[in-house]
Amino acid sequence: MQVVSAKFDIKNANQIEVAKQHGAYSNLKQILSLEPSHIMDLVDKSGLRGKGGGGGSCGAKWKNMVAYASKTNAQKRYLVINGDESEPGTCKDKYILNLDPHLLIEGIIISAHGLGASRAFVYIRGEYEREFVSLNNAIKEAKDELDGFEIVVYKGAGAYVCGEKTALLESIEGKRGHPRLKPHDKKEPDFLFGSPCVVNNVETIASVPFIVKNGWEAYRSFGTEQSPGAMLFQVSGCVNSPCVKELPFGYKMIDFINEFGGGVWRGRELKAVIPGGSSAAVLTKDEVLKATLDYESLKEFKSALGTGGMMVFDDSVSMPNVLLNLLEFYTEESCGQCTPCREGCGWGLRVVEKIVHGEGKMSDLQTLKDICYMLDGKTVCVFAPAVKDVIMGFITKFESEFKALIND
Amino acid sequence: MSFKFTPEELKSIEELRSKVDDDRALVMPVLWMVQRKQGFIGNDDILYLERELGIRAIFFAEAIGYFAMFNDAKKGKYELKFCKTITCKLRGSDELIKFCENLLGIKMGETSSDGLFSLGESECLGYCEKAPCMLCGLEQHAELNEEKLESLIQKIRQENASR
Repeated sequence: MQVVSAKFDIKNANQIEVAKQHGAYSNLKQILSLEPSHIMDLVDKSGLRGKGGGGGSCGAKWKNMVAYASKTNAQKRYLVINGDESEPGTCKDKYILNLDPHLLIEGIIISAHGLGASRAFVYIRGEYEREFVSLNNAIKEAKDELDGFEIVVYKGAGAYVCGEKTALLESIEGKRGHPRLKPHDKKEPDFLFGSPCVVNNVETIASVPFIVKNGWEAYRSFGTEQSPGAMLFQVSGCVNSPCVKELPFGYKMIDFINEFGGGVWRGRELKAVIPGGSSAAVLTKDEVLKATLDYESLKEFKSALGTGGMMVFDDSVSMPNVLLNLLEFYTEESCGQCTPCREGCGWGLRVVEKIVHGEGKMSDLQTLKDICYMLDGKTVCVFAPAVKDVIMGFITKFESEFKALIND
Repeated sequence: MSFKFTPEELKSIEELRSKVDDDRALVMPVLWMVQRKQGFIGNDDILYLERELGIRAIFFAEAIGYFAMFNDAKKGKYELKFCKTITCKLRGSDELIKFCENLLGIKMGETSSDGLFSLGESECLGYCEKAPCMLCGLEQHAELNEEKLESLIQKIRQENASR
């Protein structure tokens, strides 16, 4: 079953005539005549989970926003689409933006109706110029379908942290992408220009037309009980055929790597996999053999499904070198707002750099653990805790490789 | 020559202004307009934006300082930015960067003497399944190899020599 990838193999499906021939915008008027609460119920019952990494319930998020907006008589409500996929290993939303942008637009129209949103904002990372152009073209083509509803496309400018929803909202508002403090009340929604809003990932919103047109039961008919439906999974790194493929949740990770990724390249042995974008804790080969692609399975290994972007490492790869590269990324991309993150990422990087260059001491491994303690739970957003997971995953599961580089 | 908006550009800015609830939300789109046209945003441009749009100069300066893709100084006409993240490294981006440095006769971070090429690195470009990849200006190039890189550079050189 294909929820968002049905038109990926159809030539010119990014053009509205072709997209329409294959079901885009079908029954839209009828759908828009439904009560917004009905659409909300469908999404809620489908069990749709956010596909940008967090995996939270989409229906619950929508209900919170609508309840808050009604309670406070909010004059405006917004729908914000997060198209800022910037995490190493994550490369799926661009397929929707390039190959089937009308699916996203249709999802936006239906979702905005369900939410009572007066306008939608799509934030696309700055490096995705092709995707930015593709979506803008599609919006122009879909003028009749939009029927006066406005979609504003924002282009980021190279800041990974703007994938964090509140940093993204700050960025749209023209500020530095600094994540906001989270409210104590989890039912409080996010705000754009002071009005309540919902921030959803591109793939999440692109899944809505399928659910509304086919029913929540159809979406729940595949996947697992707690992770219903399907997702675009990606595999990259040391495999023969890196790819993006939509599959139901619950697929065996090793099967995905072998069947769709073409297996580990150059006849080498599998060593490790980072399962869900670089901030998910790394898995050893044994864990990969047991893992399935759903939120619960990865949680068992103290990792996360995240964006479903698997990075595969073969037995020739030095894990301390991989950690060094990832810490370069995180040090560069920390927004600098919180001291533990700003200082901790760079400190961790310098320690690992020392180890990789053969200048490390055994005590450096303890220093890395101390840095992780400092990174965890003491910052505004989850960037620093994610870096903690990355470091701890590497230094505990591949400790011997770090020790082998130390001449203490 | 300093930057000036065309009447059409000013019209599109006003259109966008009507869709946002705070003028400051124009900062990113407007900076992109300047950078697309002249490749960077200088101090004079910031002051021009402040005068023209009534948005404080510090807001523009802040965004330029924060976002990696905004240039505050002139670069080569074609800025080649290689992805330096692990998936590209695993698939040979380091070797490709060395090849490119030799081809252009410049090192990472430098600009060629003819002002045509700048060489840089970028964090993950989101093309992990088609690594290695790079940006040439804003154009994305994936599944790169030496042949593809060489022919791109040759093509750019030829196009610019015939102008």
